[in-house]
Amino acid sequence: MHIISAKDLSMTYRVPVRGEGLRASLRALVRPEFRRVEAVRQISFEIGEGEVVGFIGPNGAGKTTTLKILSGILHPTGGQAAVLGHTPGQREGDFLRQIAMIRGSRPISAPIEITVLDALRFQQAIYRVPEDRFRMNLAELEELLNLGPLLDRQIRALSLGERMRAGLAWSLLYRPRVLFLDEPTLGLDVVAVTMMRRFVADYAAATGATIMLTSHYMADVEQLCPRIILIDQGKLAYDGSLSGLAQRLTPYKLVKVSTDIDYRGDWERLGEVVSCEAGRTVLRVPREDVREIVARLLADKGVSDLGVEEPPLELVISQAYQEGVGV
Amino acid sequence: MTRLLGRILRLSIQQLTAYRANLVFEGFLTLVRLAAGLVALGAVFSQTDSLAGWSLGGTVVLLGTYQVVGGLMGAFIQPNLSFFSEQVREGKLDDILLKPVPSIFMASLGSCSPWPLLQVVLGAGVVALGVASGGLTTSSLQVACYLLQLGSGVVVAWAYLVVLASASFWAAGLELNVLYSASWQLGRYPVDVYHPAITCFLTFVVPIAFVSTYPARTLAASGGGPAGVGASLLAAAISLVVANLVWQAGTRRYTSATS
Amino acid sequence: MRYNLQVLAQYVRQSFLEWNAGRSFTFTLVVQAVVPPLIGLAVWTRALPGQDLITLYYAVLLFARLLTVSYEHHTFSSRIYSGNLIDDLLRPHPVILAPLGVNLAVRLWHVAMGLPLILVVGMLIPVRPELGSLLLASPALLLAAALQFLFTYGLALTAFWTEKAFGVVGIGQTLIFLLGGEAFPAWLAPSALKPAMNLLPFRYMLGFPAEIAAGQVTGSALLVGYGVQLAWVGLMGLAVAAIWRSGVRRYTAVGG
Repeated sequence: MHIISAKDLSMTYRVPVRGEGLRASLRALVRPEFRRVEAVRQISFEIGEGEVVGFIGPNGAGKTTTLKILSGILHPTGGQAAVLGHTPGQREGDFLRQIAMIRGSRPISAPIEITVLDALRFQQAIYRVPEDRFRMNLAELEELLNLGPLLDRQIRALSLGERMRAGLAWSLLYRPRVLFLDEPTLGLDVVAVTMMRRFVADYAAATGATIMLTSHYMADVEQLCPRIILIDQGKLAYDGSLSGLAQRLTPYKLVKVSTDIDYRGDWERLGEVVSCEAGRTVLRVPREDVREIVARLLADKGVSDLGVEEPPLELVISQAYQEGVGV
Repeated sequence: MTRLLGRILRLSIQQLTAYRANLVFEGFLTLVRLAAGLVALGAVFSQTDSLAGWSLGGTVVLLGTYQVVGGLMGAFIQPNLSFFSEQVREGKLDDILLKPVPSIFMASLGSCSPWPLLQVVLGAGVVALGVASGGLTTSSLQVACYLLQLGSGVVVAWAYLVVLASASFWAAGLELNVLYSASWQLGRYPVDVYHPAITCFLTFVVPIAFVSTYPARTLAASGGGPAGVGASLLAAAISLVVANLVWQAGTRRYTSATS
Repeated sequence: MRYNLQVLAQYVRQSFLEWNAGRSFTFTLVVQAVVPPLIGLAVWTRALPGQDLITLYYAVLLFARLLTVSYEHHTFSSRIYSGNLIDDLLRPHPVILAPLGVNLAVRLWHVAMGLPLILVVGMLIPVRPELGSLLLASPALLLAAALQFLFTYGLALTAFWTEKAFGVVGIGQTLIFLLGGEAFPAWLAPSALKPAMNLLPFRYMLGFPAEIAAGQVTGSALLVGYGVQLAWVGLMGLAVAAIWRSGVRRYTAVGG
């Protein structure tokens, strides 16, 4: 049984349209005009228990809209969604107690004078977590987030990073089975980003939760998501592994060659030259030719070092955003 | 200057027509508030003929005056000075201080909100209503004095708002604007209605008396006269000076203290 | 039900602490709330000197005012506008529990801060209030508190449809001022307004308990009054539920 399933999901908005200038404003008063925006167009996919799926796409592609549909905040205008066997739009108590949607990094928001533990007790009451489970979940989160020293401190005394950790514990205290993360690393500094990524990975491993996350940072997706779904202009463009997407979009690899300073090589014959500086050359080589080219280079005495890399992921994805995936 | 104000006004109207329902509601809200004030007065005078020596006509004139000044404040001053402490915190004050115009004017007059002008127009109508229904005689001299005192009332109200806003210079988080709305309401009735101690307070400390009571007295002919006009003008002058002093002291503190 | 009450208690506690942090702001709100009844007191005792009941009425009204304050247009409408309503929709309990908790906490603070003033005004009352009348007024006070919350919350929900929910609530509050017993006690109302005041809900949100305490409503009029008040609480509750359902449907179609 799939944990999350979307079938022909669609979402269409009516947005008011207004021209410029005073006259147009007054006209819009009397006769308002609308245009239709199709935010999500018949998206279908299925996600099994324990999967960590990255949901990527250009701005305005429909990622956040889809997450909102799956968490019950939006009612789709077409198609069906099912999460944990429930229809999200019904917003049943049982359903809501098993999911969490975290938008951005959400440092903890609670009255600043209470302690972190107090705030967690609040969540316990709201989510009806029995005492023994509360202790277990708390112990787990303590370990994952190094929460111990924070528990008895007032929220106002916490630093931003500490508030983030407390916020994560606060959001996940009831150990939801499904987690929707909307841009979890947005606006965070390097230390916080690392912490967040490590936490998501650890949390997934420890609890077996099913996680869907959206992000604009490819590094997030690379590190955390074995599977990605690419949405473009509301349509599902790709569903599979990240490397598979890279392979499909960029059928080449980069070969980086280090040579002696005054070596003159016949690079054009080997592949497309990306850059050629004294001692370092980068070639773009079709995947199927890589073995042969590498063998030839290794045989060349002028070559001192060699490296083969996938094209940078950001490049791949931005190409996908701009040109579409094409099938 | 007038062209600038015109442009600000036009932009404000454009912004407002973007929200259909508001157009109706803001106007309706103003009407309802005004009507409520009138009905409340009517209720008092259905039980008695004189309220602290004021007739119904006189108190209606006072209510109208109160609305006119309130509307002017709401249209031109309050959009800039309410939640002033927030502006200070966000550094908007720095922009103001950089301009070659005296900051006290930039800070209080930068933007305007057109809706309260409806209050001004309706308020003027109410003043006329009060004069007519109260059978009050009005010579052109009286009207001239009234307008002079009305202007003084505007200056006093402006100064009051400036001083309240200036509190942000000394206590960063302090937002006294709510106190303005609370104390302002006292001007809706003649200050003679209150306990003498309060009347004194409203004349010499927080001079709300000059906003509505003094001008209305002249039109209601219940003891205005040259003394009243003189008092109004004096109050306006003093308020102007005090507001300026407080503001200068405040900006001095601000500019010497910002890190 | 027990769960909902526990959740409510949590929200009351949390809001109480939150508003404790903003004590000075709360104080200015209290000042703003007490001024109209005080003005009413001043005006009416000056207009009709010697009527002791007026002072008693306004003293009780002051207390009723603090007990019935509602700022949902500030606390809740802003959540709709900012999109933070999403967090409320994700919670496994009825959304109304959170704003209700905030409301109760705010009222507690208002009463706590306004108590000294009430005591001072109470000392000015030349007449000894009858214990019986005060007791009879108590249920009316609680119902008034419930009714004004439902009314303000319902109006605050217009934020689902319009950008200026503040204006809508503003009109509601003006009506409470005029027809609720703040501008004038019901028994001093112009005769043209008396039927409206007796039928419309505003008097039952504020002035009705004060009238009972001042001994102005007795016997069958008291029973009728309570009947009307209860009816309004029921009606208002149904209306709020309908507005909420409709508003949420719209919100979840547009996404905020």
